[in-house]
Amino acid sequence: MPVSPDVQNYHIGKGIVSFKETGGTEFVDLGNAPSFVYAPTIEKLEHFSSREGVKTKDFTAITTVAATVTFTLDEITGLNLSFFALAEEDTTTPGTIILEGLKKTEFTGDIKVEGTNDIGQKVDFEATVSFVPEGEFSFITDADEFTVITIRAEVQKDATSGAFGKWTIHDDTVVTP
Amino acid sequence: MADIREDILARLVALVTTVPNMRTVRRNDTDYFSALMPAAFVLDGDEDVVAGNDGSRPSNRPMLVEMAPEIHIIEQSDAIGSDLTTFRRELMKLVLTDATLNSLTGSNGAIQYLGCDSSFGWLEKQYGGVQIRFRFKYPLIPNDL
Repeated sequence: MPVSPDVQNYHIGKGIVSFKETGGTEFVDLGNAPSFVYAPTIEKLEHFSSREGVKTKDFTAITTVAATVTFTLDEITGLNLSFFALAEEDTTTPGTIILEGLKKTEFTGDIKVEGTNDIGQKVDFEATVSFVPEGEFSFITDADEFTVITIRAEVQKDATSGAFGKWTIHDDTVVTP
Repeated sequence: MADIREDILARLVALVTTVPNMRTVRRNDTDYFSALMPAAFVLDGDEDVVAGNDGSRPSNRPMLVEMAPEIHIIEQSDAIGSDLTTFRRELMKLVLTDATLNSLTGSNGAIQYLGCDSSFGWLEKQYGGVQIRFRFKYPLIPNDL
């Protein structure tokens, strides 16, 4: 990886999102994902000194750590809609997939992003998540735009490492033997 | 050295050459006459930076740019409208699905069909032309030029 400062470290992210449901055996490509965002949620307790005329912050304690990922998918498939609808895919009728909304209230698995960008280092991410419906799904729209599914998921703490997701930054400048 | 812009234009010329029934394909030349038709002309187009052009980074920073080459097809035919529409269709199929072009534009880039503009010579029987507009987005990395 180039040592900073180096323009090769600038990054415009692109990647492939895939998912493996808990108990599954392999990751399934979710198709085109226009965005994938990770957001830590931190709660803190601040301490202020009262030894001076002006109250000054002298200590900050982090009391809660959590994280969410929010991503959009624009391939409207049964699997992708099932995350949004918290539903099990019912494929018993040939040619159709039936989703019964909000019945699968515990929908967990591993989500993975593989960085594919040409500009900047490729950054991968993997975490265990639990889906939480967010946003809306447009069955009908008067806007000439592709429909997207917005999905939010709570990142689960890894039982072994204690981490909320794992990043891997690839160094393309290193030639592996 | 890698100049994606030039590679895209060269590939476009190669693709236009494979459009069925195209007699002449030229680049860097806008001169044509009846004996050349149907003829296609691939001309270099405008290029605009769409990302990475803020002033807070070194001048050799990577950028994303968009280039809109000009592709004109000129024909004289008894079925001029149908012929031009067919040329447009065949070229769209070639450009939008070409693995080489998609590889050149890369994962940060894109190929878009923007539309086409037709024109017909009212006083020149059965002459017509169509400009087929594509836009190519690709990384421009000064250190690689």
